[in-house]
Amino acid sequence: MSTSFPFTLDGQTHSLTIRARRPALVVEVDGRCYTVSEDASGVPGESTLLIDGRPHRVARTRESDRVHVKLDRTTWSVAYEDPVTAAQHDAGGDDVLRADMPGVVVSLNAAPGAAVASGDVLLVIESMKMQINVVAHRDGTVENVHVEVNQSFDKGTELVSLHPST
Amino acid sequence: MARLQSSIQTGSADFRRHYTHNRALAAELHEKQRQARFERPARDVERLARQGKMMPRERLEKLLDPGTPFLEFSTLAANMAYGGEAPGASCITGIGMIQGREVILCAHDASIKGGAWYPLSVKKIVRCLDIAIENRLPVVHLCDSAGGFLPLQSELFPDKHMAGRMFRNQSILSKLGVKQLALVFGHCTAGGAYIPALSDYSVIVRGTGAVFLGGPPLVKAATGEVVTADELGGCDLHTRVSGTCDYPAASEDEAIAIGREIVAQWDRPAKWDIQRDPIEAPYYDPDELYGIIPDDIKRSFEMREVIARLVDGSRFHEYQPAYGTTLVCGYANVWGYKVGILANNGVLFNDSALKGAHFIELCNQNDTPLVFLQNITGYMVGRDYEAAGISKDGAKMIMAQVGSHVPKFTVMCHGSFGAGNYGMCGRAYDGRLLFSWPNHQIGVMGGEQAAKTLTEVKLKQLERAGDAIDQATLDKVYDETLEAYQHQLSAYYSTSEVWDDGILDPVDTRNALGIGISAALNAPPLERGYGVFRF
Repeated sequence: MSTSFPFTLDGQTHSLTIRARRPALVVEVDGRCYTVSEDASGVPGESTLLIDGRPHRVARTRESDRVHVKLDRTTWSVAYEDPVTAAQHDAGGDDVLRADMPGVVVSLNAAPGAAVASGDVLLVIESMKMQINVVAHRDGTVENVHVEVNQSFDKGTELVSLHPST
Repeated sequence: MARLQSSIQTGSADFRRHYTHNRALAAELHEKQRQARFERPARDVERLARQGKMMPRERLEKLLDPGTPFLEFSTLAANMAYGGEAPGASCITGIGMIQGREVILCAHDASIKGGAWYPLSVKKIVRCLDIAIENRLPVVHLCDSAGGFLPLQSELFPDKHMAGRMFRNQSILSKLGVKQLALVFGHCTAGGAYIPALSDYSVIVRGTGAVFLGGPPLVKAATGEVVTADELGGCDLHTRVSGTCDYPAASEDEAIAIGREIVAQWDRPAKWDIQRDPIEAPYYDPDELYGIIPDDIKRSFEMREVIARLVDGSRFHEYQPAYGTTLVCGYANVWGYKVGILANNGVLFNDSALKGAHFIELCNQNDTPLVFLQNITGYMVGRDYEAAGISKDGAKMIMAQVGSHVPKFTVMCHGSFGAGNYGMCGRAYDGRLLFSWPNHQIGVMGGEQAAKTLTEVKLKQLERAGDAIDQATLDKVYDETLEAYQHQLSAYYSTSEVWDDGILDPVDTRNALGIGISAALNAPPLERGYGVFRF
């Protein structure tokens, strides 16, 4: 059994697989195996990392989900990519936003030609006594707004379309 | 677990408007709590001082371990009842620490009408004893009450969950092996006499403490016997002669010291061992909750932004992130305790109800306590949804939720209307604790809908009677209904009636949940198993 972790190193995505834990940690990074062990003695906050038998001075600090690592004289920034979140990035979506439920338009915040960012409120609808924001699911430009304020609509009605993404 | 990514803009006009609005609501809450806790007529304060008695909150302060938290329940009970005569419903209840043990405190407040029990006092005391039973928490009673408030006796005496329930609950606690201690500072009259009598341990203060079924005036009326309160049921009578009380105390301070000594003798049963992880503060500042909660009860808002400000490290493992998206489900930690969160992000559809039911089952499989965050106007209505089985899908969610063997907690974050209240563990569903935020509103429908519905009914009546349709009359019906409804929808009305365990300043929610979960683990899990799910 082996466990793989995707991570980004200075913006580049890499994959790390644990090949063995005992007697020594063996990790495979981008197809190459390394034997790694750590000796914590020495300056507090620093340790010695043995990679394939060669010693390296290492210090690290965490910031949010990112770890900054100083290896010998170079500093690297490593981030763990959560698989659930990563899967959502790939979900994409249609260019057309449709109504999830019947309702009525309360206000329109977007007009054709407007540039929008993911998360921007495009329009507010009311259904089941609740006002709900309809938000852009990606960055883009509004191509068309298919409804007007106070207009009632059924489930599945096209509300707003974005220019097809390139 | 990944950290939630917040997308709120703290500089936006909406955020700032909401922030100002909700900060004002929180300030109003703190002021109302201050008044309920500390404002008393000088006459009553002087009377207690003359009797050599402490105020009830002074007693609590001396009894509880210094520097430990006290989670007070229903501080604003009865705030909209009895013309405001009974702040806090004349009693103080909550979870606190004595000698390192989590205990329920139940203190009568003799600075209000001699500590007489109003109907809502009884409801609040019974509720705190229910909490003690459900969580297996020992109880310390701080007794100082004149007994039932006679003018309202029919509303506090005869029914199942009225005065008798206090003594029934005390007996159940003892049967379950959960300890109780009564500290008798003042009078325990009539039914109140059973509080020390049914406690496993009791301490009584010489001179001011007294326990009797009938006080001196009642004895005189009944038999003609003239007797003082101390002769009838004082410290020496009960600790030397009757054996009704166990330990005599020369002063309130001494009674408190003896009480702490007694609690220190109690065993500490092992808690239910659920998954705990290292504690991490939320990454996003809970103060930002004020800018996230809308200033209009009809507005929905992104519940993940709320979750990010309640849970450890703002980390959340979302379950089924792409399915039934109007109900956000997932795992997180609160003060290290693993919890499963169900949070409304819109109306409940068939898929969201099914997802909720399934996630509740997963949490039960995993022995993970449930936290419900409510902002709900109900399950979707309409022909298509009925045809798709929205009623039976909502029923599945209720069946799974009620069948849960794990502890459940509910926070009323905004609206709670209609059947959504049921599926999301409303008051009727035996949640261990239920808290509201000051902006919360609750009702079978919203105020505007109720006013519209009743105005239409009135219009039909006028039409049937052949009367002229008078718009002014209809407007009056609408306005009056709306006003009456708004009054009853508010969080203050809800907490006045003890429909919750108190209103929280939103920033305190994480702490309240942490104390609640920790306390809940004193009880073993409930019996496993569900009823029949309609597929």
